[in-house]
Amino acid sequence: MKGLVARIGCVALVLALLMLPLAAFASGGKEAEKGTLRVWKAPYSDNDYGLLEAAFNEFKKAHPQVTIDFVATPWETWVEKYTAAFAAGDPPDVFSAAQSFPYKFIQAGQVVALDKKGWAKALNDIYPKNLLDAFSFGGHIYAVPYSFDGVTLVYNTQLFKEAGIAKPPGSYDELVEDAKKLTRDTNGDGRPDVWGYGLMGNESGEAVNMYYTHLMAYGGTVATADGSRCLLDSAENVRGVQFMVDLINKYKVSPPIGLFEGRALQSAFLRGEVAMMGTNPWFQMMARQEAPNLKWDSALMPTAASGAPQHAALGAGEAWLISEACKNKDLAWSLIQSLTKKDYLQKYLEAVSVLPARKDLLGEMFQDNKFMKTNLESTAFYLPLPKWPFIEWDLVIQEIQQSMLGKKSAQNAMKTAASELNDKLKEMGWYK
Amino acid sequence: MRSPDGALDAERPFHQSIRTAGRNSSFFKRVVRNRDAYLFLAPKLLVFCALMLAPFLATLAMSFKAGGILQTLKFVGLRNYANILHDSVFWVSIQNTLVYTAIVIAGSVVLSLLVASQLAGIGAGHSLFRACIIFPALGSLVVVSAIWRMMLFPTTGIIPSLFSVLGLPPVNWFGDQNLALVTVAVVDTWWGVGFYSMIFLAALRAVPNELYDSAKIDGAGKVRTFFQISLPLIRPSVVFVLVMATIWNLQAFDLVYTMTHGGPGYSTTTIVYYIYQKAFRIDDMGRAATMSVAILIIVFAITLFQFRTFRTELEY
Repeated sequence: MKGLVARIGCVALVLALLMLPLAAFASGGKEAEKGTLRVWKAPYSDNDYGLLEAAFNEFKKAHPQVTIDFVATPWETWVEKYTAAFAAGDPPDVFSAAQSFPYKFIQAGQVVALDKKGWAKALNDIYPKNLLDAFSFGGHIYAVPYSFDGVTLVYNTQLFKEAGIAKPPGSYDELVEDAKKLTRDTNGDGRPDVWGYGLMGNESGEAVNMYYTHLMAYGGTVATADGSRCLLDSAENVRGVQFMVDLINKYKVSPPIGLFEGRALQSAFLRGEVAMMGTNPWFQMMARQEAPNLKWDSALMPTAASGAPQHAALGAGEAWLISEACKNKDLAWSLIQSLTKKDYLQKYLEAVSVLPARKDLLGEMFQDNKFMKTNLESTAFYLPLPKWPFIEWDLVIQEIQQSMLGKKSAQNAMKTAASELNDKLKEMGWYK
Repeated sequence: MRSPDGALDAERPFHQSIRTAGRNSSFFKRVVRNRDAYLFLAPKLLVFCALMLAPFLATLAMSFKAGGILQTLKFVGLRNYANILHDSVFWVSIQNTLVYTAIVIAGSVVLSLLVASQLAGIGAGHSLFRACIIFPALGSLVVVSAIWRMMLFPTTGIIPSLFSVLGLPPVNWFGDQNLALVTVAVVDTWWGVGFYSMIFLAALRAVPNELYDSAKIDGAGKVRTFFQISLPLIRPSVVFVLVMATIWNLQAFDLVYTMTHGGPGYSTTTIVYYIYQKAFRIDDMGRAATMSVAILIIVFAITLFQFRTFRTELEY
């Protein structure tokens, strides 16, 4: 009898174990029926969900059976995380991407073309053409832009006053002269305690914004308009690199690389250790939090030569996209419509200090904010970035740094970068 | 079961039994004869095949192809192998990896031996000291790197402040191309010492006390006792640490990724970091797979060399 009970017990246990995955599967299926939208976004603040909550609530009110699973994905690992998710066939339903990031997924056919769904008709009235073009590929629109940014020169007015400088530099020659006056070694340890002009150190993401900015001041572009050939070894780009190298090594007015990495540069500016630098608009949020009493002002980045038309500039937009793997694309589209509604977007962008992509908000937001207005003005000098399905800037930054370290000439560094990237384009069959 | 030489399988060490059987019978007969052994090994072999062999074969196959992770890869023969031979950054990354490994291993082994030998002699408070020593190894490398970055941060870190107080010149720990790799290696060494010390400590405690007593009677000092008794007798543990540390550090990635991003320039680009860049940033899966095969061969060759060089039989 005991044996029989034991046997029945064993069979029951085995059956229970077999049922577990089935139960899990059943619950997953039920979840899908109810509808869960997975939303991924790299954050601009510590509380992006909270700042967008009103939009999510409006969506939830209209779709009470749908659950929002919001994940703030770090900027530093954006490419790896999303690539792994798409490669594994488990991407988010809705995701936010900065301009350089999503082409890999778009070209692999893993992002919904909004115009094919008939959703893109109204977008032309709401968003500037250049921003829609930035997220278009092969004649199709893949994203709803919600923000964009440029690069602005910010300067410490107190340090300028102490150095007897009346106005911000308008050209690179003036920048060098001003930076020389501003660079000071106050404690006599052989290293300046105040740097005239800040350049970022060996961090990948934001450093490229500032590096490219200086290349573009000379009229350089990363690639041809159709992205079929890398032009980083052009004379204009080489001059841009040489200018940065000279700031560090010849004029010694910029910190050597490694001293201020990534946002440490902005923090150094806010501590008064850097007198001027180029920065993106979200710097304003940082300044409010870290140094609300610091006296600083902003201006357009200088031109490479006095009177030249092209100010140093670089900018990019950010947008919402829907993955092809999304089971309920109509719901995803409905959510994006909520997230990009004028009122919700305005509240979010004001909090994180980024320019709005909507035309109607552009005329309303930041009207009495000189820094943001200057940032907006700088976007007129944008030069387009290539729509490559890979991230080129790690390689470019490292080559530029080789030059800054004195290991290569600016020309050789850019030649290597261009050659590597053109080899990649040849392999892809893009090179012309 | 009796073999042709007359000995029972049960009387031999297991590996000898299989070897002998292998020489004299067909594969099938051998499997049948040693079915119990194979059955015991089966789960491990299955796990090995699923998690190690299959990915390796996939990587090997990928090394003959070109394309991105989301694209259909096309066969290119040996082109990736030819390309990496002409890739100067690949060679720089190999050089950086070897230098990094050498620094970490030398530092880890010497410091761990020192710490373990001191800990072995401590009576009271031994557990407390042991806990303190192992503590760094309990933290993840990402956390460790964040803490060290803060401590070394040029203008606000505690170490530069200390340098300033002592009147030493400022050092750009992560920006100096000659120093950045060493800085990362030192952090890795600091992290690993706790773990390796525990291995050495366990080995030192297994050395019979009689040997130390005899040495004492013979008038041997502490240093001589360490080099002539302790070190030879814990040699298997030293070899183990050497081999494992070599394998781990030749694959160094975490600290480089979190502390320097391979910079400045390529001065801290290790081979695995370069593989990561090729795979995830440049989206060149073929080249990344080819370099993975290359690093596997390098690790295998160095490990084999270490085993052959340091192979020893331990006798008390």
